[in-house]
Amino acid sequence: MDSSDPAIKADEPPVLPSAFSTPPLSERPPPAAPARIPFRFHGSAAEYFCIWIVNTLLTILTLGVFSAWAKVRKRRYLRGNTELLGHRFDYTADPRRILIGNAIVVVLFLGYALFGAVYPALRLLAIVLAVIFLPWIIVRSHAFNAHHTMWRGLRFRFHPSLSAAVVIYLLKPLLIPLTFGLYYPAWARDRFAFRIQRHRFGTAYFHFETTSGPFYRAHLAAGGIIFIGALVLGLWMQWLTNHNGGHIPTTTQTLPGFLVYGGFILLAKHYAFARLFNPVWNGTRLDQHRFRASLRSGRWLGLQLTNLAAIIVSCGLLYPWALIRSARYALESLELEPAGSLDEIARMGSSCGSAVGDSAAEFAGFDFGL
Amino acid sequence: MTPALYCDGHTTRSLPVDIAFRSDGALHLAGTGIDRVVPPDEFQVSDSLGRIPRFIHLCAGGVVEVPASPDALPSAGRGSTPHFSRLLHALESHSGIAALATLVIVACVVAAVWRGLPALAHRVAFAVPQQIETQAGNAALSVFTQAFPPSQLDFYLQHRVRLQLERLLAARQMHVSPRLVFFSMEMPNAFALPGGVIVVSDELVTLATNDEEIAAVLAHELGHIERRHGLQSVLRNSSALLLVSAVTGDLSTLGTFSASLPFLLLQFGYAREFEREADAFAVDLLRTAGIDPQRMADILTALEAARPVRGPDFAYLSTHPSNAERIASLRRATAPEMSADAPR
Repeated sequence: MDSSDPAIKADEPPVLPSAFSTPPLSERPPPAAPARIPFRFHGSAAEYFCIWIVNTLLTILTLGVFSAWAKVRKRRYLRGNTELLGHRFDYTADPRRILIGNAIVVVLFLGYALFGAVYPALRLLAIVLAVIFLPWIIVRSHAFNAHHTMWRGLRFRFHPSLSAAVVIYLLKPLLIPLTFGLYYPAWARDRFAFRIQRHRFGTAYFHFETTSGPFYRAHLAAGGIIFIGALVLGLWMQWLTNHNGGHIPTTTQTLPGFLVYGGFILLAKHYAFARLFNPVWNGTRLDQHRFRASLRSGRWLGLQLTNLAAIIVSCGLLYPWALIRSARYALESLELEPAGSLDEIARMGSSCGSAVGDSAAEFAGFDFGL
Repeated sequence: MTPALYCDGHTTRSLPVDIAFRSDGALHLAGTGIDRVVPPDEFQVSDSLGRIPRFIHLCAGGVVEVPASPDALPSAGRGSTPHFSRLLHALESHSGIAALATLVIVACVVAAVWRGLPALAHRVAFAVPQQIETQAGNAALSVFTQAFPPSQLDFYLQHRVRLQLERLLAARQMHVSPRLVFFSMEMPNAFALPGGVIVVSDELVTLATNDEEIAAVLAHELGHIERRHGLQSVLRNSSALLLVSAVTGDLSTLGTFSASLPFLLLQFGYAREFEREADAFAVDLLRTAGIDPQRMADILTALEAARPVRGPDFAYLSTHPSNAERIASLRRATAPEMSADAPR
């Protein structure tokens, strides 16, 4: 469900939840099924720190080769600690396949850098090619990650429709400058719709019913935050120029201004995420089953600001702690609201009849680090 | 027997089962309405990771979810071997190893910043094509032009300084052809910019008691130029630019960044190691040109005396070696010269 949960996509999609503390769903569900089923997160910051630091060191020592294994372990850790209805999520990707994806990216980039220096025209060509291939890379990565995310023995699926991806990622963005940016929130909404609606779980389809309204409100607020950041940066530059007696400020002098501006952009990003989390999840259905999200923007912002401070003060060492507490709060804010009894869920799905799709995902499935 | 949950892979229905591994490695599943033995090669167990459950994927379809029980199950998921997986899990579960890994990573980062970045800046600076180096120098020079009034020196004095430069250049081939620029700066000073620009203040020329002292200063600045200290400083000052340049070889933005070099030089001067390198270069060059390197110590002593009273000279707070330290080391370096050509 990882790739299907748009809201959590931010960094590594911490996926949804399970524990053995809850009695497993058996053949005979209790007659009075709970109206809402919470997602639970069992990750521990201390435990994840030990995993992360060892994986990071191995990545450094192997000059990056181990990063594929580290990435799979991170995703397995987040999904494996996410519980829904007594079952955990599982991530089954083969790190060697992610390594291939990484290697392709590295080789292409080195080629770009080496040949681009000799033939500058090649750079333009490479950028054009990269843009053209972007939709393909996006749908392949979604398909790969959905295929390798499991819950209760069933796989998620992403229908990798290339033509729809081209429309969403190449054609629609052209409208943004034409409308002076006014189209941007609607485009963000369409991206969510594309991602969510092309996912299914077993035979159950995801649906997305959120309108553009919440997207416009969230982006307007985020834009306001960025505008304030730009004002602060502008005032800082103005002050520096006066301070230097009319001369261009040095890079070192301008740095604090840009850092503060970057802080505002981060703040805006997290605020937009917080404002969109509830509408996106509340507008998402899995067949007739609904999700209910109740994330509080203020608490999320406080969480992210303390995360940022902790990461800066610790020079990055507290990143695992920040990741785990973000994932915990996001998942604690999320519930599943089944349409009928739990028995309905038990009957959901069967991933049969997709042998072709399977091999296709296996064949073309690479994670390009998106 | 270990309690587990079994899902058949056709629906999300789950079934509590007990699992056990038989002596031949086969997996035995037993629960309400299920009693299966899965041969050893017909299932795959996920690696241990933290305390997350282990998943046994049956090749015939279906998954058994086993609550974390690190040692109850054979190991090895996809893309790993049992040994590798067990070793990794052991490393990840040990807080002592985590502490050690933290120390090693911090040491790596510190080493990279203190040793790696300057070394990288050195390599990149020497790879910069001359055209871009000249651009960078011009960008830096234009800032000086805005900041300081033009020179008040008469042509004759300027010419005498130029003659000293030519005298030095006759003794040593440079990678660029240096040029002199004079400004009135209100204090004796000289700077070397990328691309061979030497900025000299009027006050320095009037401070010097003879032409050989001027030559000593020029020799020092030629050292900065020949060793690309200007470019190295710009690159060190912007590690982001440095990394991008090192990876992509794209140096076209270097010129823009060089505009910050004059402020850097006016505030901090070159790094201590650069000053020492330039001093050593100057001593060498002066000897080749037949000038007594003592002139270098003389002009530095005069500079020290002319320095406006701005408080004590914090040699270790500034990145610049104190002039007293440099004078002392110059006197030391030039002393053995008296005893003629010592074997090298």
